Amino acid sequence: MNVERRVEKVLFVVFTAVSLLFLSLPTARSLQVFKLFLAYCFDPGPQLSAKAAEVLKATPSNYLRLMTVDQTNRELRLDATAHRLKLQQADALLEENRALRHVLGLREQGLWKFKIAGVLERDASDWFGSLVVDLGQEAAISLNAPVLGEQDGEIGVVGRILELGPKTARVLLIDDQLSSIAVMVGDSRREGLLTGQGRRLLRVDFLDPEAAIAVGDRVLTSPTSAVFAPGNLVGAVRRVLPVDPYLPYQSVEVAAAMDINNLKQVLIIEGK
Amino acid sequence: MIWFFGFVSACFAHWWLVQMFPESAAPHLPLMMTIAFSIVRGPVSGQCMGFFTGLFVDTLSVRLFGGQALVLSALGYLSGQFRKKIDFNSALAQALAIFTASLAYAAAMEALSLIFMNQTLSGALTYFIGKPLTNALAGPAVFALLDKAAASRRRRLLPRAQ
Repeated sequence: MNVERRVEKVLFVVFTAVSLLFLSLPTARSLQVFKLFLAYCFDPGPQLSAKAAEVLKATPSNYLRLMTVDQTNRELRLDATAHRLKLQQADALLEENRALRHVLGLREQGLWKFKIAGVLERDASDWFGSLVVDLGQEAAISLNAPVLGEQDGEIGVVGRILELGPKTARVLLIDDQLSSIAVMVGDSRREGLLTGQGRRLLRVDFLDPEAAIAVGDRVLTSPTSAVFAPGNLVGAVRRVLPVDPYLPYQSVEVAAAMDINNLKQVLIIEGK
Repeated sequence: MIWFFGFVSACFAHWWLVQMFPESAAPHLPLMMTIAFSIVRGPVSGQCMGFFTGLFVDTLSVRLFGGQALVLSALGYLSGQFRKKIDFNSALAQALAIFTASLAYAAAMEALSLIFMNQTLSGALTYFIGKPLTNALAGPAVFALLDKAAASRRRRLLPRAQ
């Protein structure tokens, strides 16, 4: 019998004996410890592979998102260039305006300065009446400062500062019944007084009964407004109310330009 | 070196196969490695592979500890006895060897379970039909890999022609 055959027989006997020993011994506890050790060694593998599979699965959608972001970025860059050009034009016009005002002896108008504030909270009992923003006295916000919003590329009137706290301020929305703003309606620029109706509805009274006003006419703040600078967008005419023969004016209903429910940030104008 | 690499990859791949496939679809890699090593490299190598990979599988399962080690090392010894009597060069012969070993493995595990735990294995159909078939299908690939590894090692060890 050669050595190799002897070794294989010895090994067979040894392995069989050891295996039978394992089979007979109560090894449950020590085996559990060893199994836990093995699980500790191997478990990160499946977890990592699952994560890798998730990443791979999400790759096409991530790539698509990246391409969309890239496309949007290009468009925004072009947009920014166009805006820079417009800004340069505006600067030139402003300079021209200043010179002409100086020649005509008119008082110079200052540029708006504004601060951006985040909408903090809304009171459920006064949903269409007011909201709270995260800037207050410490940010040099003043009472009655006009508050504007930005939606879909348009800037429109939201309300004015009603109460001031050190770090917050309450904004009286134009929808509130206490709110009233001098406005001008349509191309004819007839003046009227816009008041809130306590819900998402505005009404302009005191309009000239002879004025031709149509649905869709834009409503802008008037130069006679004590709070707002002229020309700020308020909304558009939604319905022209029938003229009351006993009243010397006509009224219209207005849909607000800013959707108050979707406002996340507002612009607080410093000075008119 | 080949043995150690085979042992580690058998353990690792077995773990993954158990995690990723249903039990009947996962080939029993330690069993296939045992038979392949035993036939290609001899019964000592096969027995060692069977015993140690068997211990590894024993630690992963909730069944008898030592059962897999016993059956696989015995299969390694037995298949080593046939390596010079039967020509295992064709894929069909290798598949048949793996199939037969798988049936023997199932029967032995059933017997051990009856003796030591006084109960039969659950999923006997899987053990007697599903597993032998998947093992037989995957077996020749294991033989081919092992042959390739052995051939490349031989080429490395041979003195280069001047």
